[in-house]
Amino acid sequence: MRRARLQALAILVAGVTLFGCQSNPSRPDESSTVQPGYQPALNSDEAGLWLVMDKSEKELKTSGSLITDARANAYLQEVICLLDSDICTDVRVYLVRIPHFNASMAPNGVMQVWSGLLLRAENEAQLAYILGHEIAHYRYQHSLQMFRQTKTTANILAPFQIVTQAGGIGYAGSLAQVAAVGTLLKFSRDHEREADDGGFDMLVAAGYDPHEAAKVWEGLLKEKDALDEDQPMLFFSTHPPSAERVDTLKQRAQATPEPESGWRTGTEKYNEIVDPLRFGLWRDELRLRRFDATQLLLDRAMDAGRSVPETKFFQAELYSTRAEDDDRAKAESAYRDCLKQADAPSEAYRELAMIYMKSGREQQAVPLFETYLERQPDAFDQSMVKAYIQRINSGEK
Amino acid sequence: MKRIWAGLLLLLSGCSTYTLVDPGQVAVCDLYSVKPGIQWSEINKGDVRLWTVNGAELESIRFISGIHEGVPIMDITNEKQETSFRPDMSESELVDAIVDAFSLSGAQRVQAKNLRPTPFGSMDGFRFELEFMNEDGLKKNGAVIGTIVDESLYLIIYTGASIHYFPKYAQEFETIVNSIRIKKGG
Repeated sequence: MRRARLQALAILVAGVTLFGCQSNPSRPDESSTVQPGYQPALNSDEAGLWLVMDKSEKELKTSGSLITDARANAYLQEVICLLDSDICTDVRVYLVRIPHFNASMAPNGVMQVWSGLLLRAENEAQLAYILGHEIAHYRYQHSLQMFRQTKTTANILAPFQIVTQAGGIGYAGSLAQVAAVGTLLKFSRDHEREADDGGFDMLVAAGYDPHEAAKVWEGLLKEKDALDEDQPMLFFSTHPPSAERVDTLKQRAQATPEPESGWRTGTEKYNEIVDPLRFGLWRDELRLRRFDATQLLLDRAMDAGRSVPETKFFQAELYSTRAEDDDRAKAESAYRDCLKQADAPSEAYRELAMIYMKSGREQQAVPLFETYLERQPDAFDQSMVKAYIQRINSGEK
Repeated sequence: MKRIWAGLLLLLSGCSTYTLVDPGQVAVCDLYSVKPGIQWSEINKGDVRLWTVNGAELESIRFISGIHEGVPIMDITNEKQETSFRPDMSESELVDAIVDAFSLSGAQRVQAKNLRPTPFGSMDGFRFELEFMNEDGLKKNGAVIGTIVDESLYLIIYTGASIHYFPKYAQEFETIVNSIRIKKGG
C-alpha cells in the first residue's frame, strides 16, 4: 500500500517536472487533498452537502437500477483499491444499469459507475483511468469547490436538471440526477487537468499501460461525432472533451518510462468479469436507438475480436431494430453470419426463423425454431414458438 | 414508472378529468367492448384509455387502441427512442418494443414472461406477463394482451404493485379480458 503511494508520488513529481509546461501549476499537493477517513466538521457547509449526498445514497441503495453481480462489484472495488489503496475503504462504488458512459464520485465517497462505461472500456487500464480520474476529483475536492461557488442548494440542483436533460438521459431518471449531484457542475478546465493528471499518475503507479488513458477520450470523441446534435453525452456535460487533453495524455504516456516488468492492460481479467454482462449491456445500448454510435461500438468490438458471436448477433439486431431501407436483408445476412459461430446466441436461431417466416420461407424457419427451443427449453416465448411451428406444419397462414 | 404516470396524468389533466366506468358492457374503441365487473375511474387521451381504482401508480389497466404503422407503440417517452409499430412485427418484436418502452420510461429490470398465443375476443392474439421495479425499487407486475387487426395494434396492459394491488385486481382483469367482444365488422 505504502509502496504504491510512494510510486504515485514519485511519478507525480516526475510528471510535474517533465510536464511543468502542460500541467496546472496550482495543482494541489498531497497535504491539501482528502485524507483517508475524512469527515467534514459538523458545523460546516460541507457537512450539509454530505447530508444531501447521504440521502442520495439511500435512494441509490434501494434503486432497481443497480447491477448486483457480486463479481463485477467486487472487481470495481478492487481496481479502486489498486489505484488508491489509502482511500479505497472510504469509497463506496455502485454499478448502475444505465447504458450511457458515465462515472461520478460524490464528496461523501459514493462512486457511481454506469454500465455504459463497461461496454465502452476495452480493458482494465481504460476503466482504471476513468476511475482514477474520478478519484482525483474526489481527492482534490473539486465538487466541494464548485459547491462553494454556488450560493444555495436550490441553485445547484437547477443546473443538474438542465445537465441531465440536455444529456438526453431522461431514461436514467432520478439516478442521473444523483450522479449529477456526484459531479455537481461542469468541472472547470483546471479541475479537469488536475483530474487527468491525478488519474494518469494513479494509472501508472498501479502498473497499467498509460497509453490507454488517451484512448478512452479518443473513443468518446469519435462516439460524440457519431451522435446527432440533440443526443449529447452526459459525461461530456460535466467533463468537457478536448483534443488538447488527448494530446497531453499521449505526450505523458510517451514520456513515461516502461518498467522492466512491462505495462499491463488487464484485458483478460476485464473480459472475464464483463463478458457475462455483455449480452445485457448490448441489449441496453441498442435500446437507446442511437444506431450510428452503437455501430461504432460494434465495429470496435469486432476489430478487437471481442465476444464475436455476441457482437455479430447484436450487429444483426441493430439492422433488425433500425428496420430502414435494406436493413432486413442486412439483418438476415448478419444472423446467418452469426450462426456460423459455434457459440451463437440461441436468439439468433429464432430471429432468423422469424425473417424466414415473414418472407414466405416457412419451411426453412421450422428447423431454426426447433433448434432455438432445444437450446433454450425454458425460453419465455416457447409457447409462441411452438405455436408458430404448429401453424407452419399445419399449412395455416 | 412514476414518471410515466405523472407525465401522462399531467398531460391528461389539462384536457380531461376522471369519469366513472360502471360495471356492464363498455365500448373501448371501434374494434371491441368489454364488461368490467367493478366500478373503475377512467381518464383518457386519444387512443389510450386508463382505468384505475386506487391511482395509476398502484394499479391500472391501459387500453391502447388502433396504433398505426409508424406510431410509437406506447408513446410514453421520447419518441425518437421508442420503437414505432410495424404491421409485420412478430409477437416477440412487440414484446421487445413494450419492454423497451417500459425501460426507457424508468422501469427497472423489466422481464417479460410466458409469451403465448391467446384469443383476443374472437381474434387471434398474444399475451405475456411482466415483472419490473419502479425507480424507487417498488416491485410491480404486469399482464399484456394484444392483437393486430387490419394492420393496427390493440393492447390491454394491466400493471400494479406486486404487494396487494396487482393481485387484488388480477381476477377483475381476467374478467375484462374474457369479456372482450369484437364488434360486428371488426
